Amino acid sequence: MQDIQYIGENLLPGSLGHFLIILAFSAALLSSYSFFQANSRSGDESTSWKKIGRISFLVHGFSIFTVIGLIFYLMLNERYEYQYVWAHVNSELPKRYIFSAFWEGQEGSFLLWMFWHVILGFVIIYKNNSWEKPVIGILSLVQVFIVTMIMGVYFNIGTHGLKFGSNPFMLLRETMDAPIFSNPDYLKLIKGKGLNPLLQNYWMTIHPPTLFLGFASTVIPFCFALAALINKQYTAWLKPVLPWALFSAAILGLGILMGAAWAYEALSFGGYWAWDPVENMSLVPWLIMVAAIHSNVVSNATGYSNKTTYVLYVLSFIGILYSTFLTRSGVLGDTSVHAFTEMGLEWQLIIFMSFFSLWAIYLYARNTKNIPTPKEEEKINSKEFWMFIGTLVLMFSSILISFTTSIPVFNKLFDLFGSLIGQDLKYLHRTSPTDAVAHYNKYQLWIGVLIGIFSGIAQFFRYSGTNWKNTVPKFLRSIAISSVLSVIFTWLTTYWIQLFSWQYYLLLGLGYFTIFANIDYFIFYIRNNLKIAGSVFSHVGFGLLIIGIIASGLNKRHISVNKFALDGILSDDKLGKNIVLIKGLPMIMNDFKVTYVSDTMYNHTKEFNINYSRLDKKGKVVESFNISPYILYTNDFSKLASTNPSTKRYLGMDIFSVVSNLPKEEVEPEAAKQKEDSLKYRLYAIGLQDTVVTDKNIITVAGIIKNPTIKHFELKSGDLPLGVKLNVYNKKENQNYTETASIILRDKFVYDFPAVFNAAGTKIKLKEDAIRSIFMDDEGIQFKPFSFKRGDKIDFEGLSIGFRDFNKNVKHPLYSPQEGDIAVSAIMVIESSGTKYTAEPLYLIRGGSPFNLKDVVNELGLHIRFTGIDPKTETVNLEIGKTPGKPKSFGIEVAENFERSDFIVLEAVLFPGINLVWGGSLLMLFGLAFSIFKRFKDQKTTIV
Amino acid sequence: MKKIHIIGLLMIVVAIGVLITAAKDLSTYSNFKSASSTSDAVKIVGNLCKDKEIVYDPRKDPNYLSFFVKDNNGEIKKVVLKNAKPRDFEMSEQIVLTGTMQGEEFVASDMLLKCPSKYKNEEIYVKSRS
Repeated sequence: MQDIQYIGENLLPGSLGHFLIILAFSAALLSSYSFFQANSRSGDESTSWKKIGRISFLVHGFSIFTVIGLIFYLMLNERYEYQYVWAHVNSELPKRYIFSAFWEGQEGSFLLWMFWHVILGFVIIYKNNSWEKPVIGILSLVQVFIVTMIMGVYFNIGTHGLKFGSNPFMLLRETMDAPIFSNPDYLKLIKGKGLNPLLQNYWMTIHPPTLFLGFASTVIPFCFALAALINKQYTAWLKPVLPWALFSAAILGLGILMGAAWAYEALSFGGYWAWDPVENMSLVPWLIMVAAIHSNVVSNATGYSNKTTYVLYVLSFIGILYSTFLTRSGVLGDTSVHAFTEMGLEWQLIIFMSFFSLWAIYLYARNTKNIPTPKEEEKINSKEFWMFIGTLVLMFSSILISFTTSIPVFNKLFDLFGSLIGQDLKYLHRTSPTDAVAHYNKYQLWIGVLIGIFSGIAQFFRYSGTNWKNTVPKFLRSIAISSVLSVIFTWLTTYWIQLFSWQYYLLLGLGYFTIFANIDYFIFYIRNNLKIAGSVFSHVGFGLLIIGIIASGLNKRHISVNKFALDGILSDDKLGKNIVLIKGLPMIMNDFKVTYVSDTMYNHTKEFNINYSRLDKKGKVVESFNISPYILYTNDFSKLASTNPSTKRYLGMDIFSVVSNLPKEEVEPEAAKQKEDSLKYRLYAIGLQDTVVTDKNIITVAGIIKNPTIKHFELKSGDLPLGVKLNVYNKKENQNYTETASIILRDKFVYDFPAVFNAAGTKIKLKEDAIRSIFMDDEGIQFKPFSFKRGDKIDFEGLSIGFRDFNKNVKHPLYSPQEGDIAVSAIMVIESSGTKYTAEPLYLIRGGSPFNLKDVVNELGLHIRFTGIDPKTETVNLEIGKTPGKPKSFGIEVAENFERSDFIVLEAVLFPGINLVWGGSLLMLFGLAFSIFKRFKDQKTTIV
Repeated sequence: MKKIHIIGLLMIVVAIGVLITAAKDLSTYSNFKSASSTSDAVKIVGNLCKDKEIVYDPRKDPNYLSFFVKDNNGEIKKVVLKNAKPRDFEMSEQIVLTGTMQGEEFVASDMLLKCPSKYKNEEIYVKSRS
């Protein structure tokens, strides 16, 4: 490309940003090196290395913060010369979504991840204990790898170009080749693509930062684990690491839960959990982290499970890296809805993952002999034994989930291996299970059962099995009480929800079992020691979650089913999930009468107002509520961007309603045009109070509306609007309908707003001549002059005409105000055989000359001009005339092959017990958070 | 550490067993030809025939969508999905269908659409004059 001097580009932030990225990279490298030096030396030398390390880490941190700040600056100022800004922002994007726009892209989310690493690093440095040196040393090295993802540096090795990362400060004209860039002033012409409307909601603002803090926090236990082996402090790390692990599990859990709540609220996957690969791969590190916490607690209490704890903390972080690899490398491709598309980062991510895995394995192999393990094995009646088994169950679950989720990776590996041995191994390729949800549920059900058992009974054992003989009666009593209560409650639950097989009875029973066992443990064992109740909260939460999953997942059902129409013809599962609702026509759905009442449009949103009335057996309305699901059009209104459900929440269930479809012509402009073209219009001449008879209807003009209100159209001054109220009697439906057809004259253009009679299948347009016929035509009228004072009345050809008052607030359809105008209208009241009409003729002085604009009472054919005014006597001069004979007719165009478009396709789903899912999960996370405080206290007492 | 070892071994055995059974759930992508020789649900990858008729008329049935798909062997069959038409259906690049062949029609119980990503289709929107 030739050199073009582009106009208006601001290149400084980009160069600065790119420089800072490279600075962040170098500083992280230096920080890592210095902290490792500090760690391996002692005395003053160590102190000064540590100082260098800290300064470099600070530099690194502030570079990252500034890079983020620069991107925000560019986004807020809509600098579309930058590709990242152009791709994620546009001028219509509300500023509150600027965060969402920032982390929508890969580069932004890598920055978010690093941001949290830096914050966590600062906390460690601030705490300033002996673990700082190795932990920040490793953390900085992790940062070195992540910065490369956004570095955007090219190397030429021979003929191959090697690219490291993707720089968020790339210019738009560097990333694509378009003719527009031959224009030096291209910036004036382009606008941003903006944020995907699907992501324009508050979840997108709060979910990613929470989830990424969860992701980021797994690195701290990982660093501690490696640091312990590097420094050969095989047990000292186990206490300080635990609060970090609890924090990580709580935040990561919260992030996953938010994702589930988002999916549920948007109903995009028919529920809160769909076993989507991306969901799975954030769940797996969490499961491993929870397993690691249990193992860590055992280590702290007994000295067992030291090695397991190390392995699990490492795996949890590697799990995060693997998850990053899966979602960002494009491997998942057609198996997930969430996956980012390929950005050529695969190899970088693989090297990242391999480096830290191999390092962890190497350290483990070198130190395994020295890690202390008790000589004696765990007793079968000890707490540690059962907790260890529980840990294994969690790992088991992780392995199963990872296995199925990794199928696309296995396929790629087959390809790779095949290309190495020169054979086509495509026949080994597998696809993810045909019914993914059934597949995962089938196996994870047993995990739930096992955890239900272990998290119930393990509580009653003591560490090292001490005092077993004395505690046996108490133990048996607790188990017995919990078991009996579980059976009773399971039985009671069957009155509420259906359990389709014995496996679900078992799972439900064990869900109750862990709840009752933990409550029992709380009351009879630890009620005086509330500090250690964290595990009770978490396990009760888990039990509630299990019950909630069974209730909402197994008993979720579509109620948007018209049973009347299909009863007996189709079995329940064959019934469709959607129902057609015509505006104003109630439909019976389950025990609800559902009516689509109205809709409103604002910006890109169309909101539907739907009434649900619950009927009792006699058909009486016992409960009534309105919901408002909405749809969102894309920025250019060319199609739907999203359909957002509306939920009616009860304590025991939720009812979801979503407008799953609309008539095509309501969605696509192209379809609307096609439909309009297919209409067969016939022209009829009609006058006021006239009637025409068409094939299917009898049409009458019922009246004139001079200031019609038109939906989604704002009148400007100078517009000449006219509405004609039409009455249609449909012969087939044997019904009368009334609608208004309008036209607006604006700057010599005619805007047409036809009257649509959906039920009659008829559409009527007003011809332009209606305006002339109704407003202007005073051909052949004999005007007579009159003078009025306020309150005067006269008789005119059988009409009583009175002057009520002046009106300075003039609103004449033909009048458009100009500066310097003096305008006033006369309010005239006309009575004709009992019916009252008003007219407001206008008198106007513009540029020193008088003008007048007449008003017409079309029904009477009466024209009134306001020709003069005497301010002293407050007398008005009027000229009044009447159209001879019948009022003139005008044209209407009638199409009677109009297919109704006043309906929506509704999908309504009932989720029982959903609040148990949310409540249970939150209680589980609360338990984790609760334990953090207790463990912090523990730490302080041991360190001091 | 005997007990733990035994349990560990037991778990590994169970894990292998479970993974082997789990692997049976994993299928290979099928095509219309082999789908007609089985009554089991199969997965088919194909492309929407955009030049052929797509029928979705909620006025008649809000739970009936029919269209034509060309599978990986190039065979074209009519596909019926008993559900509402998903958004962006016409834009889809690739379709993964789960279902069975019933006569000459493939009746899908599930459908996954792969739509062009917003990163690929780089178009520059030119400001419209207001």
